[in-house]
Amino acid sequence: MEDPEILLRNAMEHHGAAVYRLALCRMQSVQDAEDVYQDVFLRLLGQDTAGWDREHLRAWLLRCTVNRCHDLHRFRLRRPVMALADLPETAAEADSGAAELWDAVARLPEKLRIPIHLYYAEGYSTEEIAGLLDIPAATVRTRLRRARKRLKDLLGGDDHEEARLSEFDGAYPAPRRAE
Amino acid sequence: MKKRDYQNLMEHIQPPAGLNDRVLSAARQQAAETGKQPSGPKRLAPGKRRPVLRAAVCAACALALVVGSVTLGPIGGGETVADGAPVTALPALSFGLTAYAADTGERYEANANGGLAFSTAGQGSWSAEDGHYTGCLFQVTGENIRTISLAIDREALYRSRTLTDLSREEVQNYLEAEANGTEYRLPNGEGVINAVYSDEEEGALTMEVVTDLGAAVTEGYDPEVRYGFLIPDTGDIDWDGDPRAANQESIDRLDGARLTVTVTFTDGSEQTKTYTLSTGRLKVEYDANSPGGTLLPQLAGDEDPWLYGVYVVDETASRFLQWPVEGANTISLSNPYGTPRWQPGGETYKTHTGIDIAAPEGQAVLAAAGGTVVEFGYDVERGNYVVIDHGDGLSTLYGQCRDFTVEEGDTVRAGEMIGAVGKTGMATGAHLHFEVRQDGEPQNPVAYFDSDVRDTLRMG
Repeated sequence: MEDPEILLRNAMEHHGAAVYRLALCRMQSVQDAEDVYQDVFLRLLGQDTAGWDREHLRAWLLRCTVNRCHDLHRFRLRRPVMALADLPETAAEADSGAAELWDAVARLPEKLRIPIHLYYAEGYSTEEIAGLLDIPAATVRTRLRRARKRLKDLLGGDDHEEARLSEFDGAYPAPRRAE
Repeated sequence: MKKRDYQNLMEHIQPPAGLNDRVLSAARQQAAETGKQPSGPKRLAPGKRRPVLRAAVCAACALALVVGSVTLGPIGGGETVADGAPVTALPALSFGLTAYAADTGERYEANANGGLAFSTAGQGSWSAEDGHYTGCLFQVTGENIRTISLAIDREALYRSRTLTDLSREEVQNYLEAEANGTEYRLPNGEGVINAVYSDEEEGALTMEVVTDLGAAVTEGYDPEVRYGFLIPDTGDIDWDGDPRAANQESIDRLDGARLTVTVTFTDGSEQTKTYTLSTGRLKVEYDANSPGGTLLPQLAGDEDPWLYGVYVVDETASRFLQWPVEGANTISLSNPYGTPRWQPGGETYKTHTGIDIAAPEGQAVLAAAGGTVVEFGYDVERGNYVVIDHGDGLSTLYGQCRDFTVEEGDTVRAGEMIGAVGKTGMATGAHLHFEVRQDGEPQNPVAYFDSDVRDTLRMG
């Protein structure tokens, strides 16, 4: 059996960013995201991962992240919304467009925010998202549609884009998986 | 929104530096501890408290109670203690402390040696408002107890209660009430919610509520109540840095603190015990019976697996020894207690059952405590050696000596000269080989010296 420490290092190297981003998007708090991150990877140690390929591992990790966020969220009485500028790493990068986008997504209800994040940041298809969240694919599509609508309201997007986005469901290939 | 915008935005966000290292560190601690996750209770941190385990703090604040039974007088029986106080007579009623391990619900009593250790099992938590709840929990046990008083001369105490079988809505209500200070009160009075557990994903929840008691409390006796040590936050420990270092630094605040426990029995009589706390590395033992490891109430040797902890000594029944070599306080690192070592010229590995104290040849060897010389002899390994029996199963052995000034059958007092340092037997230099045995079992001698002595010892 592979040395657990090596397993953990590899997992964090390949999938740490994805876990962290999802947790951050969902929890809107660096401290909470870190807590979830640690929780998720420690739980990985308890799993028998023989035979898992990279996709399987990532899917497991993200699913675990969603669940841990859900648990942690239940005990959060406030619903924080974090500003992009609060992240030390991105302070330099943030142009007003990015900050606005982050803010708009942050204001989406969690149910809509997660599918959006998984779709756009991770490049999962609606079927894959359905598998991760344990909800029907049709529900995922509905949520994506609703989310895009609200984002358009929040961002004032162009109709050209909106029309193209609505063709996504199923027919259009998903964006490349972010690495 | 453009497809790539969100992706671009996300790509700039990375996990913070150091997070991976903290996770690895926590994983190692977890492996060293009991490896409970994920089969153990799942702990969720409510509100503003930062659970010390979740922040990758090292496992144990172990409270080791070296509690001599109150029936024993000071070592040597019949001797008076240094300040001339009489030997404690056997009282009609007695009490003691037991350790409580919150994760398993088990209680640990003092072992035959009077030592007791337990771990926080992840119960420690810290917040800037409330301070560091160490998770070191103990209970007072005994019969016919009416009231108890606890007082600590440093830091503070807390009470820990556990509410079980709660539904999620109830827990949510409590959390909201705590945050707002409103109606849905915590049962039985105030407190702060320290932790919430669940054994399964959707199972009933268990909630630990802690109450800051300050430096002293007197209340009616409830055998189920658990008390713990609380370290108020004074802002000078960096909990945002390395949580493990912060945990140790915080726990070290208890070093030298004194806990006084006074019990009033139903017949009106009273009894007091004073415990001195010391902090340090406690030994963890792994064997077939306890693959998860047992925390021992003794200091770890250099090669031993250890968890950082607190241990407590009952002063009124102290089993302290006097240092057996005057003017020499260096314990040899080349052959520390407990480590198996190939015996030169021998055939097997032998565990070093004592410590070697380097000293010039001819230096006086002193009796560590009062007792009777029961063995006197020479063998190839230990050279000239002598064994003193102090009663109640405790004995000490002095080896590699040049010669002795006592004979078998002699009675000696603590601190009395019994011989001289030499290098007889298998010794490469002049030193005293010193052993402590309880009921024939070798013990780590360093644990038998009080903190004043221990603080002067060096490993070299």
